[in-house]
Amino acid sequence: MSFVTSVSTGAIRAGTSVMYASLGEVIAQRAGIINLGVEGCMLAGALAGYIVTAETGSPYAGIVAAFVAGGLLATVHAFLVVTRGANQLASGLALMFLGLGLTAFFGRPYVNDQITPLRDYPVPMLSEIPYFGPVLFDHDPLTYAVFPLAGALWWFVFRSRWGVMLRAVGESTESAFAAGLHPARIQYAAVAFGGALAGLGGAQISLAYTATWVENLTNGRGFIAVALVIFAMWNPLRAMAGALLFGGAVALQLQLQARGVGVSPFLLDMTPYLLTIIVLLAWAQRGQDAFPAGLNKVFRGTG
Amino acid sequence: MTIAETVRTRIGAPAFGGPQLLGPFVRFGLAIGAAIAVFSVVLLLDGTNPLDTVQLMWDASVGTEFGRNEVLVKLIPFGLCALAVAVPARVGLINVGGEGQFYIGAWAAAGAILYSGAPGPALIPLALVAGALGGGAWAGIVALLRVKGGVNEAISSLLLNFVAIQFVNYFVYGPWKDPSGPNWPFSAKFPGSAMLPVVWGDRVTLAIVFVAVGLVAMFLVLRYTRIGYEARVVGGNPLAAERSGIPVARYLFLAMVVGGAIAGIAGMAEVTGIQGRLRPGISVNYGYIGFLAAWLGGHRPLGILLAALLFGAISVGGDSLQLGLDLPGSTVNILMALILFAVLAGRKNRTGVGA
Amino acid sequence: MTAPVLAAPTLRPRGAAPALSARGLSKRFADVVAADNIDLDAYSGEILAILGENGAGKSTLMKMLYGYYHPDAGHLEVDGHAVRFHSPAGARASGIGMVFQNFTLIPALSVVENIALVQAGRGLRLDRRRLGRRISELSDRYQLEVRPNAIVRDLSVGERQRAEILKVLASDARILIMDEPTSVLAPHEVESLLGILRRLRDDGYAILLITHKMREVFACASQVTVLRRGRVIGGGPIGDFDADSLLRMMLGERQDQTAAVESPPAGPMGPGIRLEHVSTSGTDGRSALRDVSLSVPAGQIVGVAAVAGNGQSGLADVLIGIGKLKSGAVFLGGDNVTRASPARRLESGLCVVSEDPVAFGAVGAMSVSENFMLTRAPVDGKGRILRTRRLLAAAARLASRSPFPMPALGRKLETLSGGNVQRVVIVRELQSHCRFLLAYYPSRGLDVASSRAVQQMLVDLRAQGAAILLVSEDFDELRALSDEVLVLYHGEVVGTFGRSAVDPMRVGQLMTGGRAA
Repeated sequence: MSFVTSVSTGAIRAGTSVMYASLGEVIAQRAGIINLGVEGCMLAGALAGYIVTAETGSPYAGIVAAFVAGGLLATVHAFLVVTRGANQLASGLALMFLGLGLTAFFGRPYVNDQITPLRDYPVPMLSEIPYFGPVLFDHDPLTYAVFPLAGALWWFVFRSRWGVMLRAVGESTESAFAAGLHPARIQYAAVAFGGALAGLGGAQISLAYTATWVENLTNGRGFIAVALVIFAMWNPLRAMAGALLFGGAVALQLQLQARGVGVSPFLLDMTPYLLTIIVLLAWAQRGQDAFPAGLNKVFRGTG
Repeated sequence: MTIAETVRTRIGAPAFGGPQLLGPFVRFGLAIGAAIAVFSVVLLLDGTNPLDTVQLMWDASVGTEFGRNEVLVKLIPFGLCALAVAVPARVGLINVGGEGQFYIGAWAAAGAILYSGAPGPALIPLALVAGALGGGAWAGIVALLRVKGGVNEAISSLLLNFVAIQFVNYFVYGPWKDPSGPNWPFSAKFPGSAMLPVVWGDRVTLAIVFVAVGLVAMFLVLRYTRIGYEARVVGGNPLAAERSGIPVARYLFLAMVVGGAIAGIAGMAEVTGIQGRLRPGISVNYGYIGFLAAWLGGHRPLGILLAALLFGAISVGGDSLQLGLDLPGSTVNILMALILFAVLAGRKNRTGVGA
Repeated sequence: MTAPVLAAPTLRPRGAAPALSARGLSKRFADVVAADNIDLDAYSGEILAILGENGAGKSTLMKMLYGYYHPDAGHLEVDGHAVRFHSPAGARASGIGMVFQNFTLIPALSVVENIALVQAGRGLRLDRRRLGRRISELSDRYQLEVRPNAIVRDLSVGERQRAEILKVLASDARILIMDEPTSVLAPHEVESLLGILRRLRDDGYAILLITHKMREVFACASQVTVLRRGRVIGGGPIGDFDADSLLRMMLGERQDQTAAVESPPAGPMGPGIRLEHVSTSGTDGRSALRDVSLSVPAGQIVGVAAVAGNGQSGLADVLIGIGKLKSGAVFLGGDNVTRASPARRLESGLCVVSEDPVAFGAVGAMSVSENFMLTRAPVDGKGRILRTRRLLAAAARLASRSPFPMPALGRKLETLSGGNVQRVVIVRELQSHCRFLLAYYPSRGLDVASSRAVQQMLVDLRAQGAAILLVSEDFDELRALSDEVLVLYHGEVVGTFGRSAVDPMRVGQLMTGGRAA
């Protein structure tokens, strides 16, 4: 494979899990709830998917389990911040620790276990197109699904009636309530759905990307997802692009290392975070409040 | 509110907010009880005996002198990292960047020790200053972004954590790698004169004094000085502070930098007290646990002390689970998270409309 | 001004049930009765005006009708059927729509999206085309011009209000509650709004118009109900009343209280507050100041008359020194302080009773005595170390000198009512060191005795030689206290009246944009 093809393929492989998680987080934050516990939801999904796959032999059952596990964990966050009015950042961080602990605890019998991984399904004909074929049409089902999902979520957020409701709640629960909506229900749904997608992201790692389980498998990808959401300005399509950039950086690093080119991988690893800060700064300079208005409250200590 | 109301004059609590001691204690107790109950259910689900587990954790942490000393060892990073969150919190800033400030403090201290060429007796003070400066400068980036650039400090400080970790990795895998050691990502070992003296038990270093000084200073400054009063005004209502002539931006900047410096000192204490060299992964989520401890303690000195001790005990108990029951050490993260959830859920918070 | 002044004929068929009827509605907050046993009936094809001063209980009543608050007692009927609302969603399902005073449109969404929010119906799809057709139908019929695809934050206030009305109409409401709809509008917009209301009425909508403006009532209402202190004081067909009788019902005893404070005119005693050609850039929708020059000599009170949103809010920032001036200069006691820090200005004796004491003048999480310290006044214990005992003693002295009862010194301000926060701020700011005072609505939210005491404090300060700039909504208060009255309109000083030359009619015209003579 050529350098470009390897990096592009790698970008998609490494970027998919983060893409699921950041798409989910886009939905949650659009409802005005930031969930710093994405990492925990990803881990929950990764382990639940792994266990169910190991026990049933079907990675598809695993995918369902991952979706449910991520969503359930996120519901804890929704309960605390929506119903109990707790601080979102503190609750989110605690959620990360909960996910970390729960998966370490329940996952210990599965370390070094073998599962039937979610295998790649090359699309007949298309995957044989030179260059594009292997990059785009030789992946596992979760990877195929994430791109239409990003498009669908974009449509959902910006074009559908429910999307208007979601954004309204994220801007102002008071106004949404006055318009006759039930902000709490919508926020619960958004946070749970966000967590469920993070769970799928985790499953993509444990069932396809590495197809193994180890403690702390996701290794900070949840936080990258949170950063990407801001980088993407709460737009699902831009989140997709951001995740691909991240995946590209990971793949580039691997390829450069394999070819013995001396770029410090650590400096490359900083770039997604620095880029996000620069984007935030640029928005702030333009005098625009980039955040969904409801999120602002969180950061002024009144959320 | 413009409705004509009757004026109430009641003999109230003494002014200048006396500490409300009992409430937090009761809340702490109930929360811990609830969290342990849920934790036990989790353990039972897996067929692990919760009584054995809790017993083991108790024995390993508070039950023995060795354990109690180990709790004090953990109190150093937890307490300092919680202070690093609480100081900015009192002026209304959210510092999620303790982890990164810890790393940069450790890096700066290591640099000062290994590369300054200073004589032995000067090393510890030098490392302390370097650690504080490093952590403070790292937080200073966040403060500048906030005060001059209008960038939210919670997000930028969180993002800079990951940058800091990679920054340290770059040095220990690259320029600072120990030339004489095996090919591991370690800096050279510090000379003995750079190591903090042990003041209690076998492993409790002088840094425990830093924690005590920090907590007492925070209490005294907030309660008895004009700076503390003005800081509380800034935290309570920045608009009112500005309109009564308090330089709000200066307070925001200083509080963030002081918070960063404290986290930097925690990093310095880790490398000069425990590790003896700079290496990757020196913080086991200390910055985040500090954040949770600060929230648990309500950003007040006494609360922070209790919360940091509690998390310290849980953390030490966790280490024993690994040896005694072959459970992963991070099992106790479940308990920490549950305690925080219980406290957060039990507090009287503003609930959203229609919730 | 060609609006018909006669009330519309009543179109109500005999014996028809009211579209919305309330019986015995009551609501208490803590120890304040906000609504006390209120009855009202609103019929289709009629406009029911609900009149009352600020704080008479109008908002509370409306929020009960719209399902925001649960009444403690009483019940509601829609078209003769008993209803109970648990949320605005319930009220909307019964055909009640509300146009809020501070609009509830969501600024980040477009007009269509905002309207889609309240559309009945389920499903995922947002049919923009169908919705667009419905919007243009309604906007043609009632002359509610808006750009459907514009983002709300880019709209003018008038457009926002039209969008808000469209939103309510598009949700198929038949009973419209309008909460002081004209308070945010420019005069010409008021006329067109009243026209819209009349057309809606003629189409059979039942309209509840909350207002305290007499002219609007006579321009379109068919029935009127007057509230005072949470109670219905009177009401009936509009033909039974004239402006005077309504005003008397609305104001009650306060009618006779104006000018109760003796305010002997004093001569100027040297330089006080002076602004020279000050211009600011408006923020947050506040109107900017445009080339404002004014002078308040020591020992004088200058009143500022303006409708909300005409630049008076900016005066505080200009005097304290928050933000930058576009041009101009600020003088305190003859010194040019344009470049001086807020701290320096306050230390020189500037005091401010801010427009919104809860937002700008107090710290909710702190006690009364700690809030007393929030001043640059030369009080005891000003050093770096707080001398708690001395500060407490100073606070107790301050409270004991207060002409009205103060809350306990240890109470946190967030536990106090708005009126008590106002008292705390007034007692703190109106101390004897005060040389330059800017006071916004100092008697707002206070009972009669307290507001009189505040007025006395102002007069006493003036006698001591303070320069006082007084912004008030209460025209009688302005007239009674001021040595001079300025009128601000759209950020400009459009008129100045000497003490004896204040003509209420002229001031009123200038405040609402009438030409200066």
